[in-house]
Formats: sequence, structure tokens, C-alpha cells
Amino acid sequence: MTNRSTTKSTFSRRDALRLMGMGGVATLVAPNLLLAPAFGQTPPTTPTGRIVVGLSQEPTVFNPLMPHIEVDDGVNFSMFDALFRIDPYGVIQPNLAFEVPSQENGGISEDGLNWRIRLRDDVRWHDGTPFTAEDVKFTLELIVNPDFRAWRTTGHSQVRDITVVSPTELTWRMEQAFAPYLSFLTETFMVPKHILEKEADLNENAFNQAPIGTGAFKWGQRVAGDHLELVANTDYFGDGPYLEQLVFKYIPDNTVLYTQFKSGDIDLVGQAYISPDNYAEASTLADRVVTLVPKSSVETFYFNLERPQFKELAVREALYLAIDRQAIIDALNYSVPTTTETFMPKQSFYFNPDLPKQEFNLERAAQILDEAGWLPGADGIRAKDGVRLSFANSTTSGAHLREQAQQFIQQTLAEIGVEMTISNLPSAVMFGDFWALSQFDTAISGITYLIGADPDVTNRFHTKSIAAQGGRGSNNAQYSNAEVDALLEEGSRTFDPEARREIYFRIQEIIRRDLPFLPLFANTSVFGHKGSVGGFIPNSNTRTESWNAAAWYWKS
Amino acid sequence: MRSFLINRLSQSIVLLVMVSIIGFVILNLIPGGPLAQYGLDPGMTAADMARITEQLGLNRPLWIQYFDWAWRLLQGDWGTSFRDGAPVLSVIGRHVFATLLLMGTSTAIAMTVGIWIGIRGATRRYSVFDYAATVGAMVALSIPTFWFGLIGIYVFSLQLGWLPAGNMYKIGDGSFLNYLHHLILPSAVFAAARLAAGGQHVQDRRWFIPELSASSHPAECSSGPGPYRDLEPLHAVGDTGRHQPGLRQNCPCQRAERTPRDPQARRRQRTPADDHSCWHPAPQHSDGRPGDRDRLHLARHGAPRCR
Repeated sequence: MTNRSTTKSTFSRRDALRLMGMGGVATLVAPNLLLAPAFGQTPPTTPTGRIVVGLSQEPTVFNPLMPHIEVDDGVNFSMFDALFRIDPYGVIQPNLAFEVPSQENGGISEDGLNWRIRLRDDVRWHDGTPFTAEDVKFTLELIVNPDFRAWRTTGHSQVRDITVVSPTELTWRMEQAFAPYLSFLTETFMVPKHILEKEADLNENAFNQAPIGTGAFKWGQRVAGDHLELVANTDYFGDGPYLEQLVFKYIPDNTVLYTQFKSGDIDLVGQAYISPDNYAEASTLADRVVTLVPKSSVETFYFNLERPQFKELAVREALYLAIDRQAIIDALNYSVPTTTETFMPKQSFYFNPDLPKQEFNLERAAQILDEAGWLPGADGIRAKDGVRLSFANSTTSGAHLREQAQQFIQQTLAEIGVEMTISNLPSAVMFGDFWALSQFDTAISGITYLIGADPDVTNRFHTKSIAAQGGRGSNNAQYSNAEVDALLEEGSRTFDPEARREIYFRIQEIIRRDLPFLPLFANTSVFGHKGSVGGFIPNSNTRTESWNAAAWYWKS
Repeated sequence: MRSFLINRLSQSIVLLVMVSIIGFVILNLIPGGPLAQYGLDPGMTAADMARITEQLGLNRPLWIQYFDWAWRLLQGDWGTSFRDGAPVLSVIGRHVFATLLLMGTSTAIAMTVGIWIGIRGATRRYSVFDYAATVGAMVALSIPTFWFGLIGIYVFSLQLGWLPAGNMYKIGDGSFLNYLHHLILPSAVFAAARLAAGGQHVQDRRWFIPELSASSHPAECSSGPGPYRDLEPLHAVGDTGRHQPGLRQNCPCQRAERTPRDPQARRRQRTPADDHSCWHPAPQHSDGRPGDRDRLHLARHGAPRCR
């Protein structure tokens, strides 16, 4: 760890691995990272061969600043660069920037308002034009341009007075201190000013169909509905690329995606990955490396805390005790996911491993409800002060594993006199106003709580983020706790990772105690690639398996 | 003819407009819309979504959105895909070749094989082949195409390893043979589905074929198995008792006269000769059209029934 890093040296790679190991996911990075040198495998000196990545959704948005989904990010990471990149351990590293600004190195002022970014001087766009601070300024200004259909604007909207000091240095001022911005910048890919400033239409133009970046791969050709070919950028400033071609192949059906992985048509399974039911078989395939990789999302049983049934903590505690999570993981999900007690991904530096563990105990659950005065009525359903302990649960219809989990939970809750009805909706309906404006009683969904890899969860848990009460965020549980609000505000102002860690540990403790949601399990992806593919390292701090395709190569 | 065309054309236009309105309204009645795919994106706040909705004009009244879209469409501007970001026309255009290739190949296969099965089934009626074709068509018709496809992939790609499990060609190899290799499985699956649907049609028309055969093979009429055994004897046509003996006077198979009135008993008695004895196309026109007497048969009793 050098002084370029934002993280103190107390957090080592070993520390990260230990944390991951505790989650039972030690297979994540360790085998690739530790074994590859032992085999004496090294990348070729010139780009050689082609790797085909299979994706279940088609990458279609090639302007990285416009609204896009995970599979588009796989292309973005290969075509473009951001100022910084986040490594598999959650540590922010320099990329186009020469160093990661911090309060220690003076890149960020003590009050967190003034930022200075120093850039590499050896970066060129794919057309040969040098990359400069002007491009950074252009990119950050484009994102907040009201005529531009930008993706995320959080953080960017607080940037003021961007000043280009020299081709390799620029400064700006933040409207308020906002530590998560550093993490957001790892997902903010730089676009070329000299090309886009000439476009009359910022939203629909030739650049969007054949972009020019600084990344390890250049645009090759796209066969819409089938695949996208990128070719090696031999002038790349970083390490790699070691492949002549990188191909993203669109295979719309998950079963066929897996079949083509088995048959060898694709070299690496991308987004949607291998479905849990195929995990056991995939693990036995010859010449295939199949690993469990934790995702950032947590399978969540969400409460709408404004419903009278859920206002009392005793009810939420009893419901948590009445859910047999291990059975859901083992019997319904092929033991692929793992248990968790928090919203924080296990691979995060900010994951609190010391939270109380949930137990499945129906007697204790019934006892808690009895003591709290929720007593069974004539129909066997508990009630208190005229409120029956009965509610609807919603999830996206057609998500079979979720529907099965739902029915399972329904049965066990019935045993303690709690009535849960099932009311499922298509995803386009579920995630419209029904979700955003908290019109549900309870809901089950895989929720990613963090934006990027930053631990800030203001958007999910701060009182001002309750959209149903006029807020601007996604606090769909309508959770409100003054102490958490204060901690969240402090956390977003604090730049020192160690200090932040304490804050977010405390937030996790309070949320574990308050139970605004019940974590069912930490989602896990089943990754797979051919045994002869080298340099592949999963990174749960990004949204894509292709975050570092520059390092991929064929073992000779 | 011209008024027919104009009539049909104007009907089509009205239909197109109605379909476009219904499609537009239904799509917009569904809550969520094109931005639902970002509903779970933790970084897209409610404010971000509102901004993009405004930029895309999705917050305008529905009828304005419709007329805006329809007017641009009429001018040749099909708009830009929400997901693809590219002009809609080019998105459609890029998929046309693959669609035509697959549809063309499977149609050609279905027609070739279908006509062959139809003819062969007609000329060899009640043969093992005919039953196999009928049962096969029924089975194929009852199985959804996607299931056929999965079975095909399982058998020919996974188990046998003969054919690719998907794709149009192997990336990096764009040769004709490679295209052909990839075309086999999907076109065979589609052809099977079309064959099943179309095969019924061919079978339904098989009764035409013996009639044509009759003119060229009259000698087969009275002896042994031949095309005529496919036909229900006219006696049976008259099962309801409306039988007109006089019409059969020229029929060479007078034996039929002795057929009992009870149809079941009659069937028991029926000899092979009966089965191809009666609907004899004599006298005929020289060009092979059915003779007057046959037309009379058809007029009184309807077309011979397929069993």
C-alpha cells in the first residue's frame, strides 16, 4: 500500500481474504491469484487469440455515461477507463489518474471540499489523440448537462468550478463534502471531448454506435442481436491486453448459455452466470474452472414499516426467528448462497462480521409475540388492538426460486399464527410505483444496497430518502432512525477509511437490531471459465465479470 | 379486380391503425415502462428517473405521444430504440437477414418433405408409413417448438456432439459450410413444426390424388391393392339410407348390391374388391376430368370421405 491509496496499511490483502474466508467464500480470488504464479503461467508478449464471453443480455448502450445495465459495463470496462479503479479487495487504485487523491496526500482538502486530480501523461484515445484534463472536465460537465440523458448524477451534481490547471492536472470544488464520490468515479468512464463536442445531438450520434475510448480494447464490429467484437489496443497505457480479440456473445437463454459453456462454444460465462441448479454438474466438468463468487446484492424480505403490523420491533424479531433460512439456502438454492446479517456485501472492507446470528426457532417466535400481546384470535391469526398479524408478500412473478421460498415462509409463519398471503407482480409493475412509493406490505427481492462499492447507504436508510414521504431516494422500507441518519451524514463526510469503518459497523449493528428488513441470504454467482484461460479474477466490487479483461490470456 | 384491391388495401390501413393504437395503449397501460429496467439500480435516484422520463417525453399525454410517434413513422422516422439507442429501422434491418435465412430454409425443407409425405401417404394409404406420418404429425403438432429445440440441442449437441448448440456461425469462421452446419438444427426444428401444421393440410387434400391417379391407372381398379383402396366405397357414402342403386348401374362391381343394409355387417362382409370397386370414374373425359356420372355421384353424395 503506497501513499497513493486511500486506505491505511492496516487493511491488508490477507485481511480481505480472511474476511472473505469467514463468509465461506475463500474460493473467490485465492485460487487464481495464488496458484497462477505457482504454475509458471505468464501472459504472451503479443496479443494472441480470442476469448468469447457469453452473456444472457445483450450489451447495447456504448456511451458509458448513458443509462445502462450490467452487461454494458463489461464492454465499458474494456473500451474505456475511469480515473480510478476498485480492486477485488475494495481498495481504490489509480487508473487514468496518477494517484488517488486523499486528505493525506493533499489531493482532497481537509474540509473535503476541494479536489485536485493529477493525470497520467501517457494515455491516448484509440484514434491517437492524447487524453488530457480537458476530457475529464468535458465528461464531468456532460453528465450534469440538462440536455444529456445521463445515467447516475449523484455526486456529480455537487461538483463546481472545474478548472484545468494543466493537461495533466485539474481541480474542482464540491458543494459539500462527499466521500462516496471517489468510489463513484471508479464507475465514471471518461469520454473524448474532441469527438463528442462536435456532435449536434448528445443523445443520438455515431459515437454511441462505435465509441472511442482509452481502454485495452478498441471497437471492432457489432453484429446486433448476436455478438460484439473488440480488438486489442496495442498502445494501451496499462498492462495488457494479451488477447487479439475480446468477444461478447449474446445468448438470451440461461439454459443455452450453460450448454454452450459445456460444449466449449463460449470460453467464459458472463452475466446471469451459471444457474444454481447447474452448479453441482458444472463443478464436475473437465477443463472448466467453476467458482462461487459473492454478489453485492442481498436477498431481502422487505417490510413496509408504515403498515401497523410492522411498527413493533417484537413482530419483526418474531418473523425473523420464524424463517428457516438454512432450508431456503440448501433445499431451494442448492447451497450456493450464504447467510448474512447485514446489507453490506461480505467482500466489502466495511462488512461487520460480528453481528448477532439469526436462529430458526418457532417456539421463541411464538413466545415473543405472546409477550408483546399479539394473541391468536378466533380464526387462529394473532391480533393486537384490532390489528391482525396478516399481510401480503410480493415478489416478481416467474422468479421460481423466490416463489418457492415465499410459499415455504408462508407455511412456517402459519405455524405461529401469522397469515401471509402471496400477491406477485410482473417486474415492470413491481418496480414501478408499487416499489418506489412503498405500496407493498412486504416484498422479497435481491437488493443491492450500495452504490458502486462505497458503504454509504443514505439512499436506502436515511429518513430524507423515503420517496413515499416526499424524499428523493430509495428508502422503500420507510425506515427512520435519527441515530442512523446522523451516522450516515457523518459517514458521507468522512474520508478516512478506518474512521468510516467504525461508523458503518455501528450502522450495521443498529440496523441488525431494528430489522427494517430481514436478510434471507447473500446472493452468490456461479462463475465459470475454461481452465486454459489465465488472468481471470472476479471482482465483486464491480458489476461485471469483465472488469479486467486486459489481464486475460490463453495459457500456452 | 381494382375495386377489390382498393377495398382490401383500405381495410388493411384501417386495421394497421387500429392495431398500432391497441399496441400502443396496451404497452402504456402496463405500469413501469421502459425505465423499469433501472428500478433496482441503487445509483439511480427517483430524481434521476424523473429527469430521464422528462427527457424522453414519456410524461406527455398518451395521445400526444401516439400522434408524435405515428407522424414521425409516416415520415420514415421510426424512432430510436429505448434499449439499443440505435434507430429502430436499423435494429429491425439487422435482424432481417437471419430471420429470412432461417424462415426460408425451414419453409423449403417443410414444403419438400411435406409434399413427399403427403403424396406417399396418399398413394399408400393405411400403410405403416401413412400411420407413422399421421401420428408423427399429431405428436409434432402437440409439442411446442421451443421444447423441440431443447430436445434437439440435448440430443444432437450435448449427447452426440454433431451439431452446434446455438449461434449462426462460429465466431472467427464465417465460411459457407460453417453457416450450413449451424443452420441444420434450427431449420430442422422449425421445419418439423411447420410440417406438422402443414402436413395436416396436405393430408386433407389427399383425396384429390386418387382421382388424378384413376385416369392414369384405371387397370388397378378391379384387382389387388392400388390407389382406389384409399377411397370409401360409395356404398358407405350412402350409409344413411339415401343410397340410389340406379347410380351404380355402370359400376363394374355389382357385388356391392348384395351388401347388407346394416353398415356394420356390411363392413364385416366387405372384401378387398369392394373397397376399390365402386367409385369408378368411367365414363371419363379424355383429359382425365371425372365423367358426368361421377359428377352426379359427387353431387348426390358429396366427396368421398377420408377415413
